[in-house]
Amino acid sequence: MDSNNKHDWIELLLEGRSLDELREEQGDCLDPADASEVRAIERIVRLMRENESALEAANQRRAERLVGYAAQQIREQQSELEMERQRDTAPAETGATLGNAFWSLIGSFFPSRPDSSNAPGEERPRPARPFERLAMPVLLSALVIFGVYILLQKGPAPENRNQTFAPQTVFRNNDEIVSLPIAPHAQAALGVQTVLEKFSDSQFRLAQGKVWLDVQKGGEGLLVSSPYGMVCVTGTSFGVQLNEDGIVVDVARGSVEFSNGSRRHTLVQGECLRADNQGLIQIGQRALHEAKPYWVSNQERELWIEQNTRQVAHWPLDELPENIKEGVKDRGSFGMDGAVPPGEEPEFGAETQSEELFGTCVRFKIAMRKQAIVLEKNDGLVPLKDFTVAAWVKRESQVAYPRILSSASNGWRVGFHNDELLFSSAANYPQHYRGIHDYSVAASQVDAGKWRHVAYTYEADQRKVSFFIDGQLAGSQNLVEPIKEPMGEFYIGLGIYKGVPVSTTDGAHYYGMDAQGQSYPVRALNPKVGREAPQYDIPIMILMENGELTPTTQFDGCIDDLRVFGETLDSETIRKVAKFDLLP
Amino acid sequence: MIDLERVAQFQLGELDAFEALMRGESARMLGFIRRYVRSAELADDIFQEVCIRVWKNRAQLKNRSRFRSWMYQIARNAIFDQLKSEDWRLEIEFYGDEVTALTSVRDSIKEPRQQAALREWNRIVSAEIRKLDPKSQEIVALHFAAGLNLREAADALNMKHSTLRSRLCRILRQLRRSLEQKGIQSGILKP
Repeated sequence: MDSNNKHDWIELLLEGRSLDELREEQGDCLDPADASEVRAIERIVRLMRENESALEAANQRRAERLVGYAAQQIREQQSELEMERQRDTAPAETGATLGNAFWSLIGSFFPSRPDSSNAPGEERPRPARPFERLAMPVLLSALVIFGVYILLQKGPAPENRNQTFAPQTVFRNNDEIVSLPIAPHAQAALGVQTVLEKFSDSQFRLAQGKVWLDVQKGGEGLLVSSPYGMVCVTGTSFGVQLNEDGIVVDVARGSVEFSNGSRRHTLVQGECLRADNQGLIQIGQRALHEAKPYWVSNQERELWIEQNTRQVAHWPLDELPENIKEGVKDRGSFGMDGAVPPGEEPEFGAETQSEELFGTCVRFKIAMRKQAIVLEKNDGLVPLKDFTVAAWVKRESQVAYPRILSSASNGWRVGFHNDELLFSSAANYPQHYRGIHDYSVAASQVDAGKWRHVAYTYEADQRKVSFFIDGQLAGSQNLVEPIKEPMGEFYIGLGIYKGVPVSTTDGAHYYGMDAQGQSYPVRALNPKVGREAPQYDIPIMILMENGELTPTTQFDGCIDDLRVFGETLDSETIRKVAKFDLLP
Repeated sequence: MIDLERVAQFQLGELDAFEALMRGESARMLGFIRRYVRSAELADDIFQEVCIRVWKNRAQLKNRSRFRSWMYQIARNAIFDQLKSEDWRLEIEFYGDEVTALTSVRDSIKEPRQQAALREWNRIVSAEIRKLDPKSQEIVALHFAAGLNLREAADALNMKHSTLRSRLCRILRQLRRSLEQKGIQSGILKP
């Protein structure tokens, strides 16, 4: 076909022709604009086909195994049909066969006599010889004696596979994986070198190794304890593995609840949890969403998507205004999705206008004072000892105290102050007017209007906070006192100070406490609460919430790809994070 | 290309031929079913149901060269039979987590920025496909996920070949526009 129509070219691409082939055949006869469109579509088709090939390869083994099951099922159905057919025709045939055997047996004890009824010309049977007459009884007796001998040697019949086991049974498995009913409502497969103790039909303790369990729904549930935590289920398929330094739980179907005394997690289908002897918990996705191989093979079960760093939270901040009601997604392990208070929405879907960044970003307007993404669930952030907060930011001014991520009370806050990177932690005594300590380093290179990658790391043992700009260490400071555990929710884009010692004395002005314990006026921008004290030029807004005064500070610009790691990253790793090299 | 001799053996009731034919198509078929149902377990069950139906209905295959489209017709029926009792509407999940996981092992896309770009690309393509009308979603699923050529996909959907072809062209042009609007630089994905 000779065509300069782009539709024809696209159709030919869909028929499986390559662009190079078409060019060779047709020459470059398309308009530049059409040629560009055809090239782009060819790339889409190629990427989709590559995706499908990758998926096909991943599905291959599982799918082939399913075909095997189906073929087996068909074979069984066919053999059942065959047996039914045989049963229908069997009585007459079987009767005849047994009758013949009986008469043969009888006949063998009696010598045949010439039968006068034989037709003329027909060969008469030869009279049996004596050893022939004895052959059948001897053979039958030998068979009976052999059968009795075998039974005596083997002992009683093998155990019924449906039997269950009494409490206080200890299952020890040393060799291959063994599948057995450990309770009326639960089937277990014990891995190699596994010790499982049974206390009752619903309580077990895994002392060593790995066990997969399939628990019927609607039963009394089942609890597996271990030195590192307990797993509680009501009807599901899951695996528990005990290692030297922790436990791994993964769920194939349904859901399970894991608890280690202080913390509790519900795992759903496809999720996998690791807990160690420090109480540290990681939750990830299993590499393969397999529900049935527990009972077939455990090879695929061993796959675990390793994360190079312990990323506890990642907010890509790529939401668009129309889907913001569904929340701001956290792609980390803890699902700390954010909510946006109605009427206080920052600008979602803002263009990054940067080739280094993907998707869109979120833009906070300094004038608004109350725009925030609220993280009501803070499971991943509260127990952190060492941590790193990293984000891409583009400031639009250099005002005081814009925050990237902030705990509502106590805890820590990261962001900026004028042209400095700022890390704040709650103080035991309100030495500073906000009841928090500030630690900062100069960051003049974080100009307004330019994207920069910033990171804040905290080492608990050293009480040290370090600041990074574009992966380069900008400075470090030692904290005068350790960080206090954050309380309440976290905020993205807003610094908030709940419960700080701000009070009113004259009904017109609001006062904070400074480093010397002296009160000072705070400018209040919310007229419902108080009026401004212009001599104090700090853009703090006082919110009245449940009778308490709450100052806030707003981030001044765009934030993208905010991440929190449960460890102190070095500058090399932070550079990789900035370049999206460490995406889990 | 389908082995017509094997299809003939399958129609004569040879289970080994059936098994070989199904194994050849199994991974694509399973991937296709998983696009319609979120639960991997349910997809497995439907897949086995399809295998059984293919075997039982082998005498109804009129044209052996259309074995694949016939098989995918059976698969679609099995999926709809399974799901019609539930409050369900067709929404094909094109590139979910599994593809995202696979992107890290793709040979042609090794550079981390490219991988991240591919993830973004997958996300947008997936979202755009979900916006299509049900028929169009199925066209995409049959052509790309099931790997049927245009004629086979048209057979499976009881459509005219030319209609399906022009519709798929439209879908691709729309996809291209959406990717461009979202600022996805597909150039980065060049191998």
